[in-house]
Amino acid sequence: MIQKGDAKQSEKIVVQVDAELEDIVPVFLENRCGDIKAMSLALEQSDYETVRILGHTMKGVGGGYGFDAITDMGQSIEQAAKKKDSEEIRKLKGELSTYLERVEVVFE
Amino acid sequence: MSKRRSAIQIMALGRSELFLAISSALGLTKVDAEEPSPVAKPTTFEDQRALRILLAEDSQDNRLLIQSYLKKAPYRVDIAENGEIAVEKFISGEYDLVLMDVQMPKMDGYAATKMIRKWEGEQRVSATPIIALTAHALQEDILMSLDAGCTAHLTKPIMKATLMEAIYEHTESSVMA
Repeated sequence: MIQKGDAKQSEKIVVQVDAELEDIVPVFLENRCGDIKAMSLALEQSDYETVRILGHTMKGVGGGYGFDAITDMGQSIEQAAKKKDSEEIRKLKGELSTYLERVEVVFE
Repeated sequence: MSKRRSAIQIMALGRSELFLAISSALGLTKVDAEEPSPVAKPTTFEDQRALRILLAEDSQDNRLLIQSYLKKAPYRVDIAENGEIAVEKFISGEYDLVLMDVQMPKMDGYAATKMIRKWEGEQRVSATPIIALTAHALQEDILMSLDAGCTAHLTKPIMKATLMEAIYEHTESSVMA
């Protein structure tokens, strides 16, 4: 898996993913959009346990699909939730959102 | 190495290699012992038998991923969305291997594994390999899964090669039986 481009916010992030996973990657990415919504809701209610679980799950699944960056972000979200650091969680949520907007998957 | 192979190999050696071979034979040079050849692993799914696998995993993403990894294998994969369902399915079914997520709702993987081991003990049946799947990489988490009765532990994210190797390793003895 190769991830390119980090310099500009508008640049695409190209991720090469095994063609065997072509059918399930769209669901995976959609679920991450769902995670952002769930995280926003949990943050409003200061429900850090839900945020921690969301981060933990992201950490455990991203790399398997070829998205190492999602595993890394998940780990950071989990850590921030443990510290109840809402500012950091918001920042990471923004990073995840930008990543999902910029990511371009190439199956090979 | 057979004597015949040794002779053929020496014939094909260069001068420095020949010197090394002779000094080794005379005990003048120490050479590393040959590595024992590893047990041949099946190279294709056709070489493998149809395993019955129980996958206990609450995350839809991970279920889809593991099912996708195994779709070309001659395995039957049953799904349990939590530990409670995993125990029920294990007791009513027959499995060669269990892939057990640790963090699940209702009943976690540790509790489910303990219940399975207890049931196996009561029924006096041999222990089915249970591979714990966790997103924790800490040594204490690995020890906790082993203490609960898991046979092995894999850290998420799970890569295909790692999973296939673990399945092979923990079902090999039953294949040989």
